[in-house]
Parts: sequence; structure tokens; C-alpha cells
Amino acid sequence: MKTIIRVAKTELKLLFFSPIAWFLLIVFLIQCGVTYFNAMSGFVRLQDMGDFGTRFLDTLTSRVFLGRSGLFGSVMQNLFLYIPLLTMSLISREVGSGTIKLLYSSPVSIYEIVLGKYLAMVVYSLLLVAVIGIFVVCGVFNIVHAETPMLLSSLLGFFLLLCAYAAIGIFMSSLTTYQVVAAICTFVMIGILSYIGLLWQRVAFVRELTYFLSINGRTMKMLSGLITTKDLAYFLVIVYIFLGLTIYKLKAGTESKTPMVKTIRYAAVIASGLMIGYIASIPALTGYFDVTFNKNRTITPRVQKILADLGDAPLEVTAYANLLDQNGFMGNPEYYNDNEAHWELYRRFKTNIHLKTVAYYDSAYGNSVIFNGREGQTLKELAEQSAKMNDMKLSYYMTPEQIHKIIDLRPESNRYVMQLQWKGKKTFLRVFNDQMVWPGETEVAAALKRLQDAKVPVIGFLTGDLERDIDKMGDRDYKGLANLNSFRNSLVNQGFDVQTISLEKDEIPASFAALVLADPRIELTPAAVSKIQQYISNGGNMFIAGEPGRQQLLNPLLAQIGIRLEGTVLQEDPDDSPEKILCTATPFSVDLYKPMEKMIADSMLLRMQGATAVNYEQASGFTVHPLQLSDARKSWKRVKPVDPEMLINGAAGPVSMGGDVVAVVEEGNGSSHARSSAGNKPGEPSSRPGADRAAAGTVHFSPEDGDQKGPIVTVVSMARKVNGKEQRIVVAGDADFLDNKELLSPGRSNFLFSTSIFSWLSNNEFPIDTSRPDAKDKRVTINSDQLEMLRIVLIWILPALIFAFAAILLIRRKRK
Amino acid sequence: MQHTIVRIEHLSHRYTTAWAIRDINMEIPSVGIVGLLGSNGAGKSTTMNILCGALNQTEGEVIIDGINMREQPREAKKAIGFLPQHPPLYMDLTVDEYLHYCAGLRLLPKEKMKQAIDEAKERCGISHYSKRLIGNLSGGYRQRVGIAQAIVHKPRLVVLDEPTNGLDPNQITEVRALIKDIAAERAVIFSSHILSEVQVLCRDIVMIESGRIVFADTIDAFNNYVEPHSLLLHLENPPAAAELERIPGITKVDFLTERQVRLYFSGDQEIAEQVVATSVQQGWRLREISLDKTALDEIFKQLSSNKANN
Repeated sequence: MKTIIRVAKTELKLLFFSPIAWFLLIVFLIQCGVTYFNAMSGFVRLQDMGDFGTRFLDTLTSRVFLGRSGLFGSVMQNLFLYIPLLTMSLISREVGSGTIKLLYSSPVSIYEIVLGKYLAMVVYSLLLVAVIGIFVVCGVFNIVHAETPMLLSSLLGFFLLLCAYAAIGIFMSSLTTYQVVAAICTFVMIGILSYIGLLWQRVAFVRELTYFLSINGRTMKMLSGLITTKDLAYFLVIVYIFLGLTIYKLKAGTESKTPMVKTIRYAAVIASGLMIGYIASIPALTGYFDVTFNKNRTITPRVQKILADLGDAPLEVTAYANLLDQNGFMGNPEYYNDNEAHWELYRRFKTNIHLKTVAYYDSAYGNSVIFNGREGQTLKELAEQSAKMNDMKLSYYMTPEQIHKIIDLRPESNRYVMQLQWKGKKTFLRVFNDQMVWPGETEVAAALKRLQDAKVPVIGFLTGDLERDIDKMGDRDYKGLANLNSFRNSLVNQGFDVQTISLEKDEIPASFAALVLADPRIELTPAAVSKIQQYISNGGNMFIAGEPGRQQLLNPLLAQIGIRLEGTVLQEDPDDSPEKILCTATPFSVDLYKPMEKMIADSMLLRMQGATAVNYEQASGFTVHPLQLSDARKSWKRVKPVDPEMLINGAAGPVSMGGDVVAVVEEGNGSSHARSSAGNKPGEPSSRPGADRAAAGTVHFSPEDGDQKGPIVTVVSMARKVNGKEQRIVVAGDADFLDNKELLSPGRSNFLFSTSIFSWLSNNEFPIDTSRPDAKDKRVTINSDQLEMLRIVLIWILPALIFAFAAILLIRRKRK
Repeated sequence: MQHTIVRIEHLSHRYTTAWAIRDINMEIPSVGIVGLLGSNGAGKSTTMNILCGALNQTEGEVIIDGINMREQPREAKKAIGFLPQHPPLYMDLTVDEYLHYCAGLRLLPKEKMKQAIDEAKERCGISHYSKRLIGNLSGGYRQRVGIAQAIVHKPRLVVLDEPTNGLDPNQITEVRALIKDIAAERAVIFSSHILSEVQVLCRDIVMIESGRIVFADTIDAFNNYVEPHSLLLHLENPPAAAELERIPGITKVDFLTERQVRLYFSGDQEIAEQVVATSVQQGWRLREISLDKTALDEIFKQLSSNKANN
């Protein structure tokens, strides 16, 4: 040990008596500084902006330190440039200058020499860690509630990566007496380790080996706060292998062993290293340590519980990948490890999850890449073409006939789908047509829970009265809400089963978790009405949605529970027609479904297109809570009927004075109240043709007609006890906010509310809440001026001081 | 029989395919200088590297002070100080730092270190350069630093591989004196391809050619072996070759220049007297006369062929 330290000391002396160590230190300091202050200044400026700017401040620790432009993210990308420059001379210099003979002829072992030199590199690495640590400390003080443990884990990851690079570097340095060659070889080796994970993915055994060796992603987990024994073992194995090889390489220099013996030694080092790594990566032996405040790298306790409930029985996951489907490539061998990585989150808590992939080709829908311009080709021809594009042989894929014998995936549109099987029970887990593609925790948990539950909640959708259709993709229909396989928030993907029911012939099964009656356009038959009424009085859960103009179709039914749909809710919006209204969720809606908190916190609004007010004054026996309210200033309830075809503008009158842009327009218009009282009602003939033209299409707030100023209740929840069980009913004055157009258009958040309704109606069994507490690191503690000061100190003054110190030291020394 | 510190038995070494040394046997007494003589590539450095543990032999044993180098390299190496052909110096360190490092590598206890380093510096005459960077020293001083590191731990055996190589004549003299001084209380083995150097310094001589020992004995025995057999004359008024050949014992005459003559002779060295006398007698105006010992390579040749004949 003494000798190791002695060698390390001398190595460090040599390092710091040459300019390279200082030079790299200064460059690294400046690089860190520039990255840190770039990342930080954006957020500081946002905060300085105040109000609006602060909305975008969130998870600041991650954003400043991780990610591609974060401090660790960007520095690590260049890290491989630093280490080889330091390690290249470690041993090649000794061999080149003959000083190696001093070491050989001294009573020290080769491993002491190698470890000593490596120790020197580790110390230098610690110095780099200290440099980046300066900025971590800055971060801890500059960010309110910074995720300090996560940053420490990042530092550990950074340090281990440096150690791995140094071990590679020292080995390369022992191979050649040319320092430049050693440096280049180190670059290459690091490059190989970065890309090896992509090599030979088609051969099962090699695939696992190369994937294990891959350095990519190893640090990323640690950077983001998840320390696993597997990754720690990886770095130790890399260090062990390369130091072992170095020791044997140097030993070989003093010995005359046959090439055979040497080869066996090297092979033994590599094999034993890989063996350790392999053992460490067995799921059952892997330890995890999530240091983030909110345990962000771990599945939520609820999902852990669901996994635990699966017990010891293995979970079989069979992925069916259709070559012709747009996600078909996920069935290729190259994606095997991706698949594994997705499941690792869950394997952490249930080790016997077995993954299998079945690749086949069959007809597919919506994959324009393959089908466009190839009309008339057979499925086989298309598959052949597609296989070629994937660089695969067609024989790898099952034919349609073969796959049909195993499973019928046509209900799944032959899309990429995973079939989960546990204790003989099966369910599907799908991938989605959104940015994430892969099912999230909520969807996976839902599928797992479906396996365990004796009874899956069924949502029944009434049909036969021109209700919204759950099997059609039209704007007004409900396929997106109910059973669109490719849409994450569809009920079928959140754990529910959906079913249509026509009351003309069928009875309402008691097993329904909830019954949906969405906007019938023709009158319900008396038989249907009586069946529904029976269902309600028996305590069945329901969701009922009406539309303005068709209130009379539902009101007879709703009278039973004391609800009346009345009038039309309108909203003034200079850019849009008045029947489009934006509703705000009430605080009570969080009681239905906790993630609604987010909707409220972020002031997300629910869009409705033509809503009628929900009057619940007569609802006795129920506990009623409004869930959505229209705008307080700009909306009103109009009692007189409106003609939707003529609705162009809305004028809420003076009530809308609120400092908004709208107010300016109002001033220019003069007294709109007076005009509205003149009684220009759409559809009514006007006495003054000119004024009529000007006012046509504009609907005014008119209290004298009984119009009622907002906020107007548009959705209510109702609950009462029936037969010892809580009956839950939601009534909405609009059916559009759940339709395909609103749910499937990008940028909409209506599904959060729709999910909350069905969650509540099914007694919150589904969807499984996997939300986490909000991150606390949302503010910075300094302003732009202070940051600028810090920047000058750390990017200019500190490096200059180090430079001056180094220059004086080196010059004085050279003169000796 | 003198006490020996090193015993080399049947030492052979093979670099990949070619044998560098073959069946070397020798013993080194615990005090005094042994010279390892051989031309370039004869196997001197290989032998020395093996002796010091910087190279592992293919066959044979090296036993230092009763310890087998192959079995207990750590123990064996403690008794050795080694100066390789290129002094193993770190140019960026000062003399003190370097010697400190070397002393540490040789496992010198901390409390003895300073004194040992001072002694070594004193011995090698580099005390006043303690704080200098090795890179800033001249070649001769670097060599002295190299020697200092080899003796800093007071080893019982000092191995010097061509220690005078590349030095100017003054430095050579100094280094030779230093070696003599060091050898006063320990064994020194040093290699050279310069015969005169070995003759001046050593008591024992081992000669290697093509990886084999061709001669091993005391320097006296060697001197007997290596007979001078030519005289170099400078004559202002040289006679014809035939006249010189007439002197009894002269076998051959060679005019190097007009006035420089090499006379080959057989028999003892008394012939010089005779040449001088004849010169005076004949008026050849002798200016210079010197006995030229046999050139090394010829001795090698001679010895090698002897060996071969044996």
C-alpha cells in the first residue's frame, strides 16, 4: 500500500509539473462554468420576468444539471476528450524513457505500480469532480430546494465514468510507447464501449454481452438519481478488466511466457470480469437506490403493491409485432434490449417477468410508409419489401396463417401489442400513437391489475337513440374516449372494459360499473326510460351528457334525480363564436380524482362546444357538487333559444370589464348594454335594417330576458347512499368535451377531466393513480446581477488565478 | 574461496525465437568489481536485466545472496541497485525528489531516507545540485544521479550497464573513480564494450560473445591471455620495409603513412628494446614508440574460436 501511494505521489508530481494537468483543469473549469451559467441564466431571467416567467420554472435541478444542455449532460459528452490526454503517458512514458526498469528492478510488484499510477488518475479525477462540485454547490445554493442527493449521485456517476476512462487509458498506455497512439486508442476504446451496445443485437448471447459492456446509459441513470448495484458493478468490472490487462501486459514485458499462456491470462481476466458483471446484473441480485426526493426513478408505491400482489407466479409478456405495422420495427432483434430496459422498472420489484417477442406480418392499418403507392401488391410482397427496409429476412417473420393459428390480433388492428399472461389469465398492453409510444406506469399497472381482478369494471354505453358512438371516429363520436387502441387515455387502455347496450332488447346488467347516456338525439322509448329509471333507483352509477337545444330529450329522465338542463351557456370571445366556452374545474373535482390538482394548479381550462346549464336546485337526497364552472366575467346563461347557425359573436356587456383586451373593444363600442336592450335577438326581425346587419350574428347578454351572469355550472357530480352503497352520477351540460375532436386533437387536456369522471364512477379503481408530488425546486435564489457576478468569479477570476499559480510554479521549476 | 553474492546458473533467455543468451554460468564475489565485456548485441544487457529482475529468464536460475530471483523476486531485488543502459531518470523532478522516490521504491524506511540520500549524493558528487531539475543537468551529472539511485539503499550488489557510455573523457575518469569507490564495500558488476575500461577497473572479467561466456577469470589471467603483438612507430627517417623485417622477431611490417609503421612481432615484449636500439644505430630518428594491445574484436574472435575449438 505504501508503495502504491508512493508511486501515485510521484505520478501526480510529474503530472502537475507538466502543463497538461493544469491546462486541462482550467479548460474543464471554464467549460463547466460556461455550461452552468448558460443553463442557469435562462431560468434566472425567467424568474426576473416575474409572474408569467415563473410558470415555466420547474424541476430546476434536473434542468440545470441533466439533459443534453445541462451541466453533467454536456460535460460528460466531452469527457472522453480529457482523460486520454492525461493517461496517454502513464506507462508509455516509462517504457519509452527506460524508467520502467527502475520499477522492474525495485522490490515492488507490478500490480503496485499499476495501482499506484491508477490511484494518481483517480486523484486527478477527484479533482475534476471537485471542479464540477464547485458548480454543484453553486446549484445547491442558487436553486430553492435543490435535489442535493440527486446531485451527489450525479457526482458519483461522473466520478465512476472518469475512473472507467482512466482504466481504459492506462491499459492503452501500456500497449504502445507512442503517447499519441495511446491517446487515440483510448478514444477508440471509449468509442467502442459507447457503440458496442448496438452491435450483434441479432445473436442472443452476444447481444446480452455487448449490451452489458455498453457504457451508454450507465451513467445516465446515476446522473438522474438512480444508483443500482448493477451499474456500480459495471464500472468496477471495467476498471478490473482494464487494470488486470495492464498488469498482465507489463508482466509479459519481464517474462518470456509462450503466447498461449499470455492469451489465456488475458482471456481469464476478461472472462472473470464479465462473469462478475453477469452475476451482478441478475435481476434478483440487483439493488436499487433512488435518491430523488419524489422517488422519480421508481414506480409509485401503488404500482409496487400491484406487482407484489402478483406473488411468485411468473409474468409472461409476449409482444406481437407486425412487420407492416408502423411500430413493427420494435419486434426486430435490435429492439430486444429496449424492451428489456422498459421492463426493468417493473423487474426491480418482480424479478420473474419473462419477455418474449413474436414477429409476424399481416395486414395493417394506417402505415402510409408501406402502403402508399403499392396498391395491388400482395401482403407477402409488401412484407418482403418491408423486411428489406428493416434489413431482415422474411423468414424471421411468421406468415399471417401461422400467426392466426396462435392468436387472432385483428381486434387489435394487428398493431404492436403485448399480451400479459399470469396464472392463465391474459390481457393486452398496447403501445400508443403519441410521443412516448410506450405504455406508462398507469397503463402497465392497469393491465397488471386487470390480470388480478376477478371483475374488471365495465362501462356501458347506451345506443339506439343516436347517442355518441364508441366505435366511430367522427368528430362527435366517442371512440377516442372509450376504445381507441392507439390512444393512451382511452378507457380500454386505462383498465376498463367498454360495452354498448341497446335498451330496446337488452336489460342493463348489474355488473356495469357505470352507464353512459351521451346526447341522444331522438326521444328515448318509454321502455328504455323505465329501464334507466329502474337502474338509477337501484343505485347504479351513471354519466349523462346533454346538449343545448335537446334538453327536452333528457329532462324527463333527469327529473327523477332533480336535475334540469336549461338554456345555453355562452361566452364572449373576440376570436371565436360564443358557444365555445372555457370552463374551470372546481376545487371539489380533486376529490374525484387527485391528478385534477394539476389541472387546477396549471389553470388548464376545459373546452366545451355548446353547453347547457345544469340546474341542480331540485336535487334532493343527493350530495351535489359542481365540477366545472364557466367563466365568471365573460360568460352567461341565455334562457331564450339561440340559433347555433347564426352565432358569430357574443357580447357579455359591462360585466366583462376586467382589464382584459376585451375591455378596450368594449369602450370603443360605447354602451353595449343599451344596444342589447334594444332587443336585437338573432333570428328576430329588426325594425332597422342597417342596424340589424351590423348586429346580425351577435348575441348579447340581456338580464331582462332572464339571462344569468356566469359562472354557470356545466358539470355536476351527485352522490347518495342506496342499499348501503354509494351511488355516483355525473351530469354534464355538454357531450362534446369528450368527443374524438376534443380528446384526440393535440394540445388538449380534456382527457384529464374525462378520466376523472370515469375514475370516480368506477369507485376510483381505475385508472391507477401514478402521479407524484410536484417537484419543489421551482425557484432560484439569485437574480441576473448576482448570477453575472458569480459568473465573472468562476469563469474569469478563478481560472485566471489557477493559471497564474500554475504558470509561476512551472516557470520557477523550469529554472531550477 | 571468496564469499559470493550472486550465482547465475545455466541462464538462457529467448526473445520470441532467437536466443539472446545461452547457458550463462557465473559467480560474483561479494566485494569488488566484475566487468562484463562484450561487443554490442552480445547479451550483456540481457544478462544484466535478468540479474536485476527487469526481465524474466527463459531457463536457469539467478540466486542473489541465497535467494532465488524467480521465486522471491521482492526479497532478491532488495539487495540490488541497478543502473540500466539509459539512466531511468524523470527529467521533471529535482535530484532530491527523484532520489527520494527511488529510496522509497527500494523500501528504505522513512527515518533513514534523508541520511541515505545525502550519503549517495555526497558519494556521487551531486550534493550541490540537490534542488536542480534533472532535465537541466549535463549528461555526466545525470549519469551520476543514475548511479546515486543505484546505491541510495546501500545494496550489496550494484549493477551498472555501460555506465560510461556517451560521456566525455573527463566524465569517464570521474565515473570510473566513483565506481571504484562504490566497490570498496560491495559487489559491483558493470558492463562495457571498452576493453581498457574493464582492464582499469575490474578484478574479475567475464566476456560474452553471441550470448555465451567466452572467458571468465581474473583480469591478470586475462592480461596474460591478451598479448600485445604489434608496435607502433613514428620514424622521421624510415627505412625500407625489408630492413625492418630483418630485426629478429618481427613478422610483418605495415606502413600506415609514410612515417608511421606498425610492426607485428611474435615472442615477448623485449623486442621494443631491440627496435629502439636498431633505430639509434641506423639513424631512423625514432620519435614515438608504443605497444599496441590486441584490438578487442580480435580477442573476441580469438576467444570465440578457442571456445568453439574446445
